[in-house]
Amino acid sequence: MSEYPASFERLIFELEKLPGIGPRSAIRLAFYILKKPVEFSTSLAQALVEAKSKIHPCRNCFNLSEGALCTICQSSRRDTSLLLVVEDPSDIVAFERTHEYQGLYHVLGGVLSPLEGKGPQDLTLNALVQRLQNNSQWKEVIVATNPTVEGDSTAFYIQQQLKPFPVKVTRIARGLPSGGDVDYADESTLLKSLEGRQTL
Amino acid sequence: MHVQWLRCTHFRNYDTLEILFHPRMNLFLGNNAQGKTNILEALYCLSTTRSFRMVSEDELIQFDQTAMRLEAQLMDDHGSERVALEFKKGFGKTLYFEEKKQKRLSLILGKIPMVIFSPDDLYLVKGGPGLRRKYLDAVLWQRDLSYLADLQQYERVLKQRNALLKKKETFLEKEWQVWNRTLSQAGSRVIQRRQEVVQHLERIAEHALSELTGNQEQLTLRYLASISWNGSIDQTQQLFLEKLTQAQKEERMRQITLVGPHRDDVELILNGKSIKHFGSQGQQRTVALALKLAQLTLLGEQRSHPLVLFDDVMAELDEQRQAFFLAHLQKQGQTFLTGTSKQDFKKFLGDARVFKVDAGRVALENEGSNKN
Ligand SMILES: Nc1ncnc2c1ncn2[C@@H]1O[C@H](COP(=O)(O)OP(=O)(O)OP(=O)(O)O)[C@@H](O)[C@H]1O
Ligand SMILES: [Mg+2]
Ligand SMILES: [Zn+2]
Repeated sequence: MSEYPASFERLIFELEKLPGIGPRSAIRLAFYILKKPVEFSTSLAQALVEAKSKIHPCRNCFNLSEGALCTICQSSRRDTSLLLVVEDPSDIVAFERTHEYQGLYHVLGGVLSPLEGKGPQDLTLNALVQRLQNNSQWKEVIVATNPTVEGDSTAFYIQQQLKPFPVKVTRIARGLPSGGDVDYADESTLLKSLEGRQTL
Repeated sequence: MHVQWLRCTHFRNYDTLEILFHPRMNLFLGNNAQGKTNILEALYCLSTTRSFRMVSEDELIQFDQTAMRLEAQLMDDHGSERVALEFKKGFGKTLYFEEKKQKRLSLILGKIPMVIFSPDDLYLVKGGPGLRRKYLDAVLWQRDLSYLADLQQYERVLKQRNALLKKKETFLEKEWQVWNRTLSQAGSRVIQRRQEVVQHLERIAEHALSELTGNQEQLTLRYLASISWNGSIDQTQQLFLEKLTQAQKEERMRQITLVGPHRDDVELILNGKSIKHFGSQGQQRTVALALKLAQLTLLGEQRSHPLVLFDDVMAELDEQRQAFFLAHLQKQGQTFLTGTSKQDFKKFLGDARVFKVDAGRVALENEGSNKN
């Protein structure tokens, strides 16, 4: 029993799939889109499709990238002996904002969490080990997963996996509020947690 | 610390309610189902963001409404602070300090320390181990918020580990090691803190019990741990890991974590005998009361006196114990009592501010004494 025309219902239906968007917000957004000139929706639709078709995980570090390698991996000015392991690409943005960290990154694509059905094989952990195997230039791997139970467990897992390699494995300090999010932390908090990192 | 006033909007059977509290003693009288417990619940809810009744939280909102708000003015030596909690159906809760929206609900925890006495306390002695663990945990986190972080961490790992146990696939040894480590780490901290506080409580509760009965009583609180505290975190964690290895087979079969502080208990022993099994109803009630009094004393040692909430308890006490409580409460913080009959509070009436509660309306009956 639909109250709105079918195409409008469909729009609401799709919008509602977005995180944080409930039925009421979906209807509000749908009306907003409808009121705007057609250029608005064309441009939005194009942006959606373009982003999705152009952006891939970087072959090296799994950061968002339009080419095979992301801009950080391509840069010749990065310190290639430092590797910072993060949960998501948004964490990279947070660390880049500090303008302090000069090394490279590795995006795990989440953390270990059986509750969400996430085990080691669902993260880019094998690729991480590969990166250490392929190159001997690494001196330190900094694990910057969030200070949660899952983040800590994942950090410990990584430390176990990297034992065979002659690198220092460190964990960023708990400067962040417990249960806090790396990508919500302000720059100075993030800097402090980076400076206060400890060997795992 | 005391609460100067409370304002409830669309909370339970209160459309709008404003009460100016007496800084020491407040008594709410009224027939059954008029809203006395609801007032205590509002205070509790502000203190912890939750209800003490085991119900769906939506029930806190008045029938036919979609949101409720609780607001109070807190007063201590440093000055006053206004706190508010809003709860909207489907949107969750929001916390405000001085009308300013706060980022996390947990920021309110510890601001309004309180201890509730209710007839249900009997189950602290009679009921299952979960209630006794909850009691210990409440004593611990109200004394020191860092315990709450430890406990929540432990509960989260436990959930994760149980989820892993329910997975059908083959077990990846390395993955297990990780969760066992995290569980034993967080768990050992919980065990340590509970072990310590049980010793503390034992001494104080025994004293309270002797005062309540007028006899020399011997009360023992024994923390029954599936992993006993081993002198240090590291050693306890070691033992924890060993127990996990031993339990591995059974855990995988039953798909649930079988060792750890989430299975622990406190054994209560009165004059050499288990109270749960051999105590009379009266003895059980008295020991439960002593445990709550110990909680009150322990919290008061640490920080300013907690609020004391007394729901329907006074009527159950004989005159001698009422006198004891009256004397005891004089030394405590702001107190809130409920009851149905004036007769049960003869000893209190002189000092308390008395309110009459009638179908969601609260009327002032007696100002209460000015002496503080
Ligand atoms: N969400 C709600 N909306 C409106 N009324 C409610 C709501 N929840 C509970 N009530 C009403 O509140 C009343 C119960 O209040 P309360 O538990 O405070 O009673 P009481 O005065 O403590 O009674 P007693 O002496 O029996 O313990 C009942 O009349 C109940 O219908
Ligand atoms: Mg009641
Ligand atoms: Zn890259």
